Amino acid sequence: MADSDVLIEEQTKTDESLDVPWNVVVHNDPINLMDYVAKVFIRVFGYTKQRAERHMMEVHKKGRSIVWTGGRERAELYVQQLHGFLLQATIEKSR
Amino acid sequence: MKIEWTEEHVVFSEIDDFMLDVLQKIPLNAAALDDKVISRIYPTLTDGVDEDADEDWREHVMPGLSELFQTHMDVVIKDLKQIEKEGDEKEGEISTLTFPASHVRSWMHTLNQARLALGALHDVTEDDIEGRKKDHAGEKSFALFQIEIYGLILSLMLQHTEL
Repeated sequence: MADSDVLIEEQTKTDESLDVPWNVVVHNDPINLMDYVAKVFIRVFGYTKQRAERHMMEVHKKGRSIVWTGGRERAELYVQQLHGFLLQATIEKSR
Repeated sequence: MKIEWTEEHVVFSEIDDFMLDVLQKIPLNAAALDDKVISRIYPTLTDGVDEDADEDWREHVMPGLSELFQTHMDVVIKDLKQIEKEGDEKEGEISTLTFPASHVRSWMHTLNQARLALGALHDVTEDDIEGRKKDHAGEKSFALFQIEIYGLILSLMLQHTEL
């Protein structure tokens, strides 16, 4: 197999990993105010108050909420914004 | 302490010495350098699931966030230097803090950072916050008090300002 084939295969694997839908997950912490968390969701994702509060309650009661699902690059951007507001957020592969 | 809001300014008045100390500790608390605090203020992208991605995050994203947080903190530090005192030491001094309403976002951020840092430093749990656990030693008790006071100020600011 030529070197270029290896390169193409590696490139394909990388692209596939980027294409998998990724979840942005927000995790509960005992300190952040509930109103604050809901307002961050409105600000970052443009969610309605109702949807933002639903996610906030899910974080509070279940310990985490998947707040967005989609491409990796955008997911990372959202996590960066959420970290900017001091929320505990991570990405994970969507099952 | 009273907090008043106009279109252009926020005024904290009738601040006694104790509350003055609590306010002046906001940036100090926010800037604590303990490992537990740093992991809480600067979480990683995958929380250890993908170590390479987390390392990239530390290298490329965290410095920008750190700069942003410092900018907010600098605004608060500068505002706190403008505190005006009245009265004398014998009869007790009362202080007033006035800052532009445009600084509120920096205040909200730094208050929240201080709350989270105190929470991480003192291993504060949901039970502590909701008052179900009350057998705290002095330092943790004061930390919980500060978290509560900063939270009240933050709540008030959230009512007046969008993030």
